[in-house]
Amino acid sequence: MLPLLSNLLSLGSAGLVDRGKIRDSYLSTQGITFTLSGKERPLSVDLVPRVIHAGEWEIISAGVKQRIKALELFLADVYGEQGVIRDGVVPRQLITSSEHFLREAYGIHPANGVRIHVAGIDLIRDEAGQLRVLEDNLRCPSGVSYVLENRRTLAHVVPEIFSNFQVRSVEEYPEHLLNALRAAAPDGVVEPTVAILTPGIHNSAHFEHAFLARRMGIELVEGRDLFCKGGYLYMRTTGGPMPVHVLYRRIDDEYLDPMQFKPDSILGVPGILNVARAGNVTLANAVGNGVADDKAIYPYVPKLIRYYLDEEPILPNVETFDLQDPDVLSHVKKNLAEMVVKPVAGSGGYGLVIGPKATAQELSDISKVISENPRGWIAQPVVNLSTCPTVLADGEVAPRHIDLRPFAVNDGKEIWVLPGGLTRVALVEGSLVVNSSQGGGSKDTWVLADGSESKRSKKREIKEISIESETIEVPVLADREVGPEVLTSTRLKQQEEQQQQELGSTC
Amino acid sequence: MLSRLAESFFWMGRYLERCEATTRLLIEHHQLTVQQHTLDDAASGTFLTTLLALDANSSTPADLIASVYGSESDPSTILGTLAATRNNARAIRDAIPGDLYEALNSAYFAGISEVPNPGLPGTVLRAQIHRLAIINGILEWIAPRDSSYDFLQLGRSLERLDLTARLIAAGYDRTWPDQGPVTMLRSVDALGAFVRGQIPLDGPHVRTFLISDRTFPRSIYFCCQTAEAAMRRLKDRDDHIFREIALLRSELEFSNASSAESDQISIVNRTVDVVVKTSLNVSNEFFRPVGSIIWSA
Repeated sequence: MLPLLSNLLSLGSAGLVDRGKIRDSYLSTQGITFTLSGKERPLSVDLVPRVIHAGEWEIISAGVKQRIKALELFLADVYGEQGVIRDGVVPRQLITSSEHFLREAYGIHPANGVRIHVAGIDLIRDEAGQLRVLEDNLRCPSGVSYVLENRRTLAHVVPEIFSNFQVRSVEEYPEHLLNALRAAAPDGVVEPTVAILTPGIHNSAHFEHAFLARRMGIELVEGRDLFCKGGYLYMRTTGGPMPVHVLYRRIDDEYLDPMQFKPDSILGVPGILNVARAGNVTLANAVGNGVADDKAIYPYVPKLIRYYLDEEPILPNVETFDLQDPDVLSHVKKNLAEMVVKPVAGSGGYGLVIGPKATAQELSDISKVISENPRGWIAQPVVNLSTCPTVLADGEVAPRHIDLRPFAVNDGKEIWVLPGGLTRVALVEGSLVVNSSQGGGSKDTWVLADGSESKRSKKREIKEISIESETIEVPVLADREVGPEVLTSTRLKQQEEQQQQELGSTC
Repeated sequence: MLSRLAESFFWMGRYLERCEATTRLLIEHHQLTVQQHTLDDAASGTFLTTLLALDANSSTPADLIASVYGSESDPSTILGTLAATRNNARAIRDAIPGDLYEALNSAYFAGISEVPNPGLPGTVLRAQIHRLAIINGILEWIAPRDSSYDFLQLGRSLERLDLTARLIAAGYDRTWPDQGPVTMLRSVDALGAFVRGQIPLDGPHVRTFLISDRTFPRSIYFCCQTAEAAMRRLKDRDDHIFREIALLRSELEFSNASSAESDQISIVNRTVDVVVKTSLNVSNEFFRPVGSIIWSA
């Protein structure tokens, strides 16, 4: 970490402020934005990357895979045999009371068995240095576009910091995602058509939807571009209706199908769920995944890992209090000032109450709310997230709290974890809220290649450079053609000038 | 039209294209080598200077930026092509739209005054791409579609053929297996067009795309087509000037898209050869009529 920081610090505060301006203008002209309260703004990326060593990444990657594997089995079970309830691992009442447990999803069998095509698992490091899972995102985890763009942005703005590190590439994500989506196509479809469904340009993550469509070379569709007929899904094209076999939908379940969910949704496609049930389109991620990332199910995930995989969890949870137990509820209410209280169905940091930062009024309000609806909330002890050096607006460097969202893609055969991830940073001093919707920024996340310390010795010698290999023949290395010297020929120039002077003298 | 005018239009097209392509290539090469340390600095510098046929020794990334940005006197460098474009435009100032000359001039003066910081070249180089886009935009908007435009188009197409062939031959995909293929596509701004074809993003497919794609304006096939069309408009009856390029085009038209690497490399080498021959044919046919007297000192 030291050479990285010293490279940056040698720029000085003024230099860092300048680089910050270059970054901001790059992000705006490239249109790397997210939309907050209707306004499009750049997602600020800090100039200091977060570095993760190869060994630690192995653990993260294995832990994320294990968790997704267990949660896939849990979803298949919950929308199937429900052995997990029968065996008393998770109380039935907890599942049936989850607002994301959708009876409509029952009986939909995904073609290759995958329901979690894309997952984002939020991790934090606690005071003891232990990485813990803070929450699972199994519906429409967003942020991966910034992982790719942050790398290019830093290489543009602070190229010097890369010089001592062998950082693993994040470029292959779109290809992995597309392969996973194609692998999820309904049975018998050899050349599937994949599309991304976006709510439209006003959605906060529209940049990401467009980015992924562009990088995967597939259509970005809105609800009005699609229709269902005869049990199939089509998009309207100039060449007539064209079947869609896999839909990577980036809209929430309740807006997806007005025939099944919100009847007034204009973002979705009427009848799409029946097409999915008939096995003629695959929805990614599957409908009803929210039951597995419900915050009230979260405390049970370590149990689920043991139950389904017979393994010990690699990445532990953060201690979480189930408020439905009256004793626990009264314990939490007594210690609210040291707790974080979260709505189970929420995301984006909305509704969160952080005890030590809350006013007495806020605490008494939340105490009332959780007593009335203990199923709707969870409480966790405040975890002081780890920090990472971060450049402030005035060019000073100071610690700020961070988390990490690694992304994983499941193609049915293998769960692949993108070597990198979105590190979110709370830009306000002391703040623990990193959500971009709450004013958080991001950091490029560098996963170092194994043995990158000995990078120098691994570099190839110049004589091995492949441009000189046998496949290149002389014409390619030939000089580039040049035109006649139009004005630079000295003799011609002199004569032309002379001509002008003579003309001048006679006039 | 005057042969001299025709020649200047032709070379203006070539230099303009070369300037844009070299700038874009430098941006992407820099992005790649910042992130991937497969080669040491000297080797990755030699890689690019060899591709661009530059006679420069670049042992550090900063040297490389400085050499490729170059000087006004070397028309293989960015600044050199900018100067050469403007010089050609100056010689035909009467025949080109005023707006075009203004845009060329501002690109040229910005080019000499805003030299990229060798440690941080991205911003200046990107601004240059935008200025060149303005020039190309004016040409597309208001340049009369007469012979002058055909000569310009011909120059552009031949230069594109040359650059695309060099890019494929250099072997980014072999030297940087991780990001080389993406870099090749980005260097000609073809990433979006490529991925829409839904084919694997690897060296062989990227090479096939850059050689034979039917719709991408910088593929070898497409450039053969535009060059041939321009020459047909100029002189339809004399097919000897475009015979070489038409043969290459028709070969690509009917060739197997998934040809082997050795076949691809031989097409690339032939392309470079065809560009040289065609350029010479065009020059002999239009710019240096038989019987012109050359005085020697």
